Amino acid sequence: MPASLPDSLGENLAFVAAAVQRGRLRPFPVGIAAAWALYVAVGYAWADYSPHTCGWFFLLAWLPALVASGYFGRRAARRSGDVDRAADWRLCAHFMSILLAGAALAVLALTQGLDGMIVGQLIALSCGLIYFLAGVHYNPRFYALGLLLIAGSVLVKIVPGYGWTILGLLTAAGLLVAALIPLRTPAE
Amino acid sequence: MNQDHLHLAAGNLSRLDTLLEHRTRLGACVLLSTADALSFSRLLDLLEETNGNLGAHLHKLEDAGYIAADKQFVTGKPLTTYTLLPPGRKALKAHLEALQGLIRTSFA
Repeated sequence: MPASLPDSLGENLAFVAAAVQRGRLRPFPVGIAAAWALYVAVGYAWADYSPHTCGWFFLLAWLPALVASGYFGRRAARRSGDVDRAADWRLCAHFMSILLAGAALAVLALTQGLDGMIVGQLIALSCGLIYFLAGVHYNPRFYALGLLLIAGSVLVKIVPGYGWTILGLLTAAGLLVAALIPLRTPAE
Repeated sequence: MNQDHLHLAAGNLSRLDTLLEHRTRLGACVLLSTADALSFSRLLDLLEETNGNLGAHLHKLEDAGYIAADKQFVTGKPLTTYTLLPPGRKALKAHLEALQGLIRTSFA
């Protein structure tokens, strides 16, 4: 800041910039994390138990999880008084891309006769990339979850019979941890 | 800084909104301009102010017609949310433009 600008002006602008930076980090409601943690933990355990029927679970259970997310999201916004519909819509559209990727891979699997294991790995890889990008654009807490899913998509075959269950439990734990750890800006 | 720059800087200084010269009031308006509504407690967290100070600053902005408060009960607890009104948005835009002009002339 040049000496000709009042010092107080520079301090005020730095103060406002810090407040705006803090405002960008919005809480991740525990209810939303719990809904998707349950979905992924049950679905991935099911994949180990009955690989040929788990697709039905993933196909049918996403809707209640999505409805629960909407409910918990609205409730958290009402309780905190932090209402930003444009930001909510951007975040929703970002994570809806998981469903689009899942649907596209399901179509590919049916039309190209892809192996179910490979489809599952590709879906886990897509989810990992989407969570990693959520870490880049929305909240750094999603970085670790993204990396976990990307690594899991490659390593899931290492533990035969329990690979998906372990990845599901780790992902569920990652979601809950992301919702429970306190928000911190980079400056803090 | 030559005479022209001094005139420009003086012009920009005179265009600053005195109500928005305080960092808490400026911060509150900037934060409210980025959201549909924010609660008192959320503003308190983001601006790291005390209850009393923030309340007084928000009152001044309300009195000037820059922001509006909405008091309601959510799950049995009182919740006050604030929104930026069109006059507040206009004043904030003019204030930020004056600040930009001031910074430009200072760097020139």
